[in-house]
Amino acid sequence: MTRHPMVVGAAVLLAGLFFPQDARAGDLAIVLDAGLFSMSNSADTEKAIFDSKFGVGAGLGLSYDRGSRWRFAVDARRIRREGERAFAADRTSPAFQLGHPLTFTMIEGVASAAYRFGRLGPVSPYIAVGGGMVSWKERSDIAGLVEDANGTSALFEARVGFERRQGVLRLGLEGGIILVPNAIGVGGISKVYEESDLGGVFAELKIGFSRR
Amino acid sequence: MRRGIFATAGLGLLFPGAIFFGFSERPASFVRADEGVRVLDSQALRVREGEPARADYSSRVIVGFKDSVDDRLAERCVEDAGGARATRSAFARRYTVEPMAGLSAPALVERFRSMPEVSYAEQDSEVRAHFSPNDGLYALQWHLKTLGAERMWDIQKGDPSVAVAVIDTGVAYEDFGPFRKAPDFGGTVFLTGFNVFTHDSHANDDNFHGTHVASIIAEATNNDSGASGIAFRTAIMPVKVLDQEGFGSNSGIAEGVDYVVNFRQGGVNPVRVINLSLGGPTRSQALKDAIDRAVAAGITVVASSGNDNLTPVDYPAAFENVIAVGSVDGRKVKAPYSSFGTGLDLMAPGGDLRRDDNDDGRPDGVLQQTFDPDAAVQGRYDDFAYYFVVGTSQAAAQVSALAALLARQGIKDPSAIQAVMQSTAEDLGAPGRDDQFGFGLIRPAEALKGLGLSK
Repeated sequence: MTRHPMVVGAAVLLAGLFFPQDARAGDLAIVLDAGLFSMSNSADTEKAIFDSKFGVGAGLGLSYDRGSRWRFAVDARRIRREGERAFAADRTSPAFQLGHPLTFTMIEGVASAAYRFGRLGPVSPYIAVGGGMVSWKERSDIAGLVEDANGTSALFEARVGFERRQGVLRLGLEGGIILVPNAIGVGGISKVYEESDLGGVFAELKIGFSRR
Repeated sequence: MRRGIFATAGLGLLFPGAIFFGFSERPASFVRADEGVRVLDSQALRVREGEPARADYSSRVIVGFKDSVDDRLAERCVEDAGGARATRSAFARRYTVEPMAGLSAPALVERFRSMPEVSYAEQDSEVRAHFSPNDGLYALQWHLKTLGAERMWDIQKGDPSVAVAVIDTGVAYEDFGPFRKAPDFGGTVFLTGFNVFTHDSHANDDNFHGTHVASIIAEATNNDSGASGIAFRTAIMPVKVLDQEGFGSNSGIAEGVDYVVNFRQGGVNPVRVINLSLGGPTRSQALKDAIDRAVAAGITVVASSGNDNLTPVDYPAAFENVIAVGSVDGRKVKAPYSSFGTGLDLMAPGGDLRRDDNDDGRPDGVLQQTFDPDAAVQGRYDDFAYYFVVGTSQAAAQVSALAALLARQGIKDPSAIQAVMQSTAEDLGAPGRDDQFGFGLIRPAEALKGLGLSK
C-alpha cells in the first residue's frame, strides 16, 4: 500500500536533485491537481458499487520543462470513492446495493512525458503519455465487521490538455484516460460483470508554481 | 417425549391434482418439548447489541513480559521497541502499546518478539458483541446454530415492510371463535390473510403445520420467552389452502397464490416471498401460471422438495422459477426423507428426530411453537407448546425467511435472491451442483454480505 507512493516520492526527490543543475535549460515546477476520475473501463462494476460516474481525486507532482516543447513529470494522486456492497445475479442482470458501506481508495504514482504544441491564443495545448503503479484498497463494513482487499497494478495513461502561464503560475485543464488492466475481476461484483480494469476517463485542474 | 406420531414427513398423491401432507406411523418424528427444557440461564444469553467498536484496535500491540521482568524493565523495553504509549493491565504483566509515528503495529510486534524479556507479542484486534436472543429455548434450536444465525442477525433481522406469505394450513395468528393466537406471536406482525375454504380473511390453523412453519420464519424473538424465529421482524401473511388433515388442491393453492399477488396495502404489496411447504407429484398449469404471475410481480417463491426420499422433487418445487429446498440433519447430511433430483436447488436444516448430533439430549427436530395436533382433532386450538418437527417443510421455511431478509437488505429480484443464496451456499456432496444437495446448504450471513468491488 505504501510502497508505490514512496517510489514516486523518491522520484520527485531525485528530480529535485538533478534538475536544478540544468535549471538554465529548463524549468522546474511543483504542481497541485484535483479532478474527477471515473472507473469507466469497468462501468457496470462502477455503477453497481458507487452508483455514480466519478470520484474525486487530488495529487501533487513535480514537472520539468525541457525547452519549449517537452515536459517530464512525476505525480502522486489519491482517489477515494464511497459506495455500497452489492449483488448481481449475472453479467446481464442489474445490481442491487445492500447498504453495507464500501470505500475504495487508489494511490497512483505516474511518470509522464508531454509534448507541447505552439501557442493557441493564450493557451498552450499539449499531449502526454505516462505509466506507473497504482495501489488500491477496498474496505467494507458489514454490520461492524470490516473486510479489506487490496492490490497493486501497473497503470498507463494518456492525456490532452491546455495550459496558461502567468508569471510563475501555470493553470492547466486536462482530460484523458487511465488504463489499469487486470487489476480486478477475480472476485466480487467485478467478477460477475467480467470487468478487470480499474481505470477510466478523467478530467482535472492543475495549478503549477514554477521557478521563473 | 410424547407418543410417536409422525408429522409433515409425508407428502404424496391421493389422486391426480390433489396434494396432501399427513401423518404416518413412523416413530418419534414429532416431539413436544417438555417443560424440562426450560433450563437456560437467559441472563447468559442476554442481548449484547451495542454499537460496534469503531476504534482501530489493530493498530495496537499486546505484549506480555516474562515473570522475571519487573515493571521498570518492561517499560524500558516498550520504549526501546518504539512504543509511543503503553497501558499496563491491572491484573497481569501485559501491556497494550501504541507504536510511535511511522512504526506499524506488525513491525512493533517483530521488535518485541526479538527481545528476550518478552513472553509474547501480538497485534490487538477488534471483537464485537453478537446478537444472541434471550428466548429460553434458543439453545435447543440447533438449526439456528447450523445457519450461523447470530452473525445473520447482526446484519439483518427483517422488517415488517417485507412480508412472507405462508400458504399452508393457516396460522394461529388471531383470537377468533375457537382459534387462539399462539403466545409467542406476541410481537409478530400479520397481514390480512385469506382462507380459500371460507373465502374470508380468517386463515386460522386447524392442523398445526402452518403455525410451526410461520414460527420458523417469524416467531417473536428476544422476548425472554419460547423459541426464536429467523426473520423475526418480518411480517407474515397467513393463507389457508390446506384443510385440517393437511389436504388441499392445486386449484386452491393457485387461488392462494393469486390472492397474495393481488394483495395491496397502502397501494403496495409488501409480500416479497411465498412459502409453500407442501407439494405433490402432479404438475398443474393453473398453479404454474399463478406462480409465474407471482415471480413476475417480484415475489420469490420457495417450496419444499418433498418428504418421500423420491426423485424428482414434488411440484410446485419442481417448477423452474421456484426455489426447491431439501433437508439436511445436524451433520449436514441429506435427511433420509428428503426428496431430490434435478429440480433441487438448496438445502436447509430440516432435521432427523432419530438423531441427536448436538448432544443436547433432544431429538434433532426443528423446535418452534405450534399447538397440539391431537387436541386440534378434537376442535381445540389453544394447547400451545414447542415441538420438534422434521421435514423439508421446515427447511423451506428457513429459506423463505432468508429470502425475506435478503429482500429487506435490498435485493428486489427473485432471480437475484435465488442466485445469491446459491452462490454463497456451502457446497455439500459432489463438487458443484448435484441432485442430492442442489447448490448446497444456505449460509445466510454470507448471502447477506453481498459482494464487494473486487472480493
